[in-house]
Amino acid sequence: MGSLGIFVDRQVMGSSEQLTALIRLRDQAEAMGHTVYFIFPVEVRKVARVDGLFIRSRTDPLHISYVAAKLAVFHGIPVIDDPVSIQVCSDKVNMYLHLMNRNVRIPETRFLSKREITRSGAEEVFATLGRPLILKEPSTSFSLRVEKVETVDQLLKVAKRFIKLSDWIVAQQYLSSSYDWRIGVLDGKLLYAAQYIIPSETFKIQDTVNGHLVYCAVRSIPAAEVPRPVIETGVAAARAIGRGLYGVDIKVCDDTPYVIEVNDNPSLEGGEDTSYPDLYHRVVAALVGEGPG
Amino acid sequence: MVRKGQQDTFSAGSIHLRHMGRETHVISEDYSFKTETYYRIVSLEVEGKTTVPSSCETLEAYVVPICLARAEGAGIPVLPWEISDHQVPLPAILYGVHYFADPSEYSVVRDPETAARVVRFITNGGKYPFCYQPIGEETGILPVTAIFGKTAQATDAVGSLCAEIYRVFRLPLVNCIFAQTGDRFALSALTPVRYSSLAREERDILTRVMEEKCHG
Repeated sequence: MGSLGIFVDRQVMGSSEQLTALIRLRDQAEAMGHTVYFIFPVEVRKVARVDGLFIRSRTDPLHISYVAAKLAVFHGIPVIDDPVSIQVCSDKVNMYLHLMNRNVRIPETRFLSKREITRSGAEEVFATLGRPLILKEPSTSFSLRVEKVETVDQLLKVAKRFIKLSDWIVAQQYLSSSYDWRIGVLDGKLLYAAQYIIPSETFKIQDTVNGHLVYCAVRSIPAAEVPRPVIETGVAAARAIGRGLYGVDIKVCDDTPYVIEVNDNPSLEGGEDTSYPDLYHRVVAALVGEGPG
Repeated sequence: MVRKGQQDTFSAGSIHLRHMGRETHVISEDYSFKTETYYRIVSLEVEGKTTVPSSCETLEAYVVPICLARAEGAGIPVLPWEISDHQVPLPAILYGVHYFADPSEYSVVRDPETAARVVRFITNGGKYPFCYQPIGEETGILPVTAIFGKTAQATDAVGSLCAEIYRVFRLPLVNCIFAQTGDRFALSALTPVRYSSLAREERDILTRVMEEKCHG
């Protein structure tokens, strides 16, 4: 029997969907014979006392969640998300560099530094990537700071805003689709597959439209119904980052899968597990073993 | 000696690479997350190069609780630290731990009013946690610039701590923030160093070590 720590924060505990998912995870771990502790940021030192740590709060190398992950590694404790996965996935530049290095197919992508954010630079980017294109600030999450631009003026305006937060930003070919595949991968193996149905009002899986948050619908899809190249691409993308838990977003255009991003700390509360009843069991087992239960 | 043209060598934002064997040493005034220097290091790493420092080491150095946990594990004396979301025993040194925190900023708070104001600021109005380090009433702060672990004017005790800090974190240029109580020193944080803040002797050390690395 082991002890599983779940690192959470107020935002996570304040969301009924996320809280429900956490309770299900706790119940699964307890059913497997493990003890579960929720660890809050002010208790981060308690990380040293558990046998496995599952991080369920926003990840970023500058956030307390990264401190929790690093402390776990310093103490030899298995952790999801591990610090390297946080470092890579929380930074789109680093993430795309890893995918490119492993020849994982992504939309045409350029990294722009401050000196390239000029009118002639913008024209050149449109000439390379087409029009419209997508700009991303590298630390974007929940589709924040991801914007579609169609003109040089728009590109310059958005890029100048993003470059205040990062010395490099991402410019990417725009690929249109009515849904994204979300391929969940754990330890280099398929964990689940889902479709994220993009709201008609936007091109993102989450957006603010007329002051209202709109979310994608989640449809869990059995593995047998997922095109083989989509699963293979998702697994390859995850392996390009590490052996942790990832949610890989994929768009299929002209029958070709393109990885849009690899998310550490992927959402599990949207019904992703509907077709995968062993999802929580596998996550717990990866952290603290099968247990006596 | 400061050489003619050295002003340009260390112009603001300049990044210097020195190749030694299989290692590429990256000299910069700021290794913070998502800076030009950080991305230069990440790009080299993805190409399979070994950099000094690594991108991982830069994050470990500038995120205060990780810095102290790592330093303590290496036997370097550090200040005790805790994470809080509002309360802090006084006096203490405070650091933000979040995306918008500036790694070079720290606040020494000795009274409740200042503490409340600083906490409100570094937590972005209570949105994020922060790191505090309790200190004694008589504790002072001693920032020391370390250049490849060497210092221009530090005592032997502080100099050897800086050398040890370089061995662990491998940041060629770093400000070591020490808490000094009597003749005892404890690491509080590591922060970036601007070239423009370097004293003449420190620039000489930097130039000399870079030349040594250049000639291997």
